[in-house]
Amino acid sequence: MKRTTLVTALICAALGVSGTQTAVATAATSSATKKAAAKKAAAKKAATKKKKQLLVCRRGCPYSTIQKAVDAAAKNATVKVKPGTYVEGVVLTGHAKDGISIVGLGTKPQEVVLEGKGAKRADGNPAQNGIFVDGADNVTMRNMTAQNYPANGFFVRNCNGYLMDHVVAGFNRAYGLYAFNCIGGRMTYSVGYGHGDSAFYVGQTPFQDKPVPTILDHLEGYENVLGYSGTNSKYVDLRNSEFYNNGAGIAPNTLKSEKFPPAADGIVQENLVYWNNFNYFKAGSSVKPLPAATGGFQYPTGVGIVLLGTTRWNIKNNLVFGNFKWGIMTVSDPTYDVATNRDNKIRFNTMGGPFEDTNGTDVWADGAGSGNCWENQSTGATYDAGALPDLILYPKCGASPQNVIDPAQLAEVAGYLTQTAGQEDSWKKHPHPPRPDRKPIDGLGG
Amino acid sequence: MKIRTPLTGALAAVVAAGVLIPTVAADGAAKKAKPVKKTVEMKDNYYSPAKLTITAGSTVTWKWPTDVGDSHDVKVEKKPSGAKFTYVNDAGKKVTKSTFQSPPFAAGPAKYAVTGFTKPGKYHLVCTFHETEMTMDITVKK
Repeated sequence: MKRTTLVTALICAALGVSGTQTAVATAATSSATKKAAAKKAAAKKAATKKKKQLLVCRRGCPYSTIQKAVDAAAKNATVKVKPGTYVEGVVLTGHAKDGISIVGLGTKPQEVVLEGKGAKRADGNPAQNGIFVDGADNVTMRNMTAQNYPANGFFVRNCNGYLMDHVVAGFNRAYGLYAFNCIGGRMTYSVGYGHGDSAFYVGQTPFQDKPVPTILDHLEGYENVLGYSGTNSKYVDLRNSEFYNNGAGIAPNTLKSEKFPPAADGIVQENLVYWNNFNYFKAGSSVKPLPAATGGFQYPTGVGIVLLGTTRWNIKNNLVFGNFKWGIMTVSDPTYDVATNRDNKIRFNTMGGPFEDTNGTDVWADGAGSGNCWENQSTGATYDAGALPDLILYPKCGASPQNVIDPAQLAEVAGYLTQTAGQEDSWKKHPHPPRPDRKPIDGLGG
Repeated sequence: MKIRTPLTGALAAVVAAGVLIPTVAADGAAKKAKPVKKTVEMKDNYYSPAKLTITAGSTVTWKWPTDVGDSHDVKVEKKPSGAKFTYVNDAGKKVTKSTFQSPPFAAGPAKYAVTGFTKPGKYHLVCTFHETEMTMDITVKK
């Protein structure tokens, strides 16, 4: 500083400027120096920030919240989260966050917990989701839990690819793992329980010329209104998963409320679907259903697999047992043509009998639609009798199976779905053979 | 005189029908109507009300009750050219932009306030989760 002043004084003397002018010049020089120093410090800080490891923990890490680390993360970066509870809702928006991975460093998903109770957004509103990915592609969420959020545990929308792997979602108000308006994506080795809609949801899938499948593999859903649900979902391959103690186990569906109807071109295979007899309508239930998106009709309870107005779904090689109303049901919406079942195949499923744990009735259909067929279920599978003969109500998968609406079945399903807790009155109840680590809730429980 | 009575009656009818008319100042110049504050409730799956008429510069606040159910948001889809909106963004900062989209909320209480609607004309808004049925229209007058 002294040197600068001296130099300035010498220059001033040479130029013959006054003392006041000297002071002004000195101040200007000093200001410029300060600016340069500040610029240098900022550059240094930025450089340090760049090098900062994207490691999160409550104390002693470069970042104390997941959101701060995500904000600092560039494309394809990995944010590592140490065990602990994080009361926040993490948001990733836009392609600047493409390819980011958020990974829990615990030995199991329950060691890194995103907690929704008390979590706030920067705008002061309650945080809605554990992690919300909006418009970022191929984001990975791995080895962590999201619980008690007013909306969803893990939520992606408007994206091209995602991975939710080894995550747990518990008692979020709507959905556990939720994908909306995305192309492709995977949910694997994950668990969802206690949701007012479904544990796993894939909805409003855009139509694709070259479809990218959405893989749902090794999932476990229990004590939800629905285990899997997908409104207007497409190209889904749901496999090797387990759905039990839900109101209904698996329910792809077509509704007016979302774009790109119908739910189409899905496969449900090699799943265990059992004991879905959760009567969450009863007072005191720990799970409160969301208002049904089906107008005056409720979601069914006591049902293993429901196809509501789907097209080209293939339901095969599943083990479906101990569901007190129906094992597999197909129903259309008579008020919405696109929600009519078409070209669905229900084949090679093992129903209740071989497990000595029967469904109320193994198979039920309203007869609506075209090209739907049923064949080669396990020996002794039961088909719910309507007014039409079974051969017409449940045609085999020949060249072009014909379907005919059965008025008796329509009346039955309308009566069933306008009830709430009373749905249970028509269940065929019985004790279940025990299963390791599983306890049936049959009616209210959980 | 003969004309006056029916004219007064016609004016009274217009006012009674709730049609916005500019106030006439003492010097005869039309006064600009004042901005207003309006609230819209989020429901499953509709906005209440689904139609609003406001003046330019007004504030509209969308409110999510404690337990709505499904996730809903609000996004301006059609608007007059040059319209601007001021709101608090995800980072908690007040910004002014030529478009807006609220975060999605399933449960609140939560609110999202937008001030501006600076250009008179028709605005069309949608819930991006339920575009086929959850929409609303705002008419902005001078």
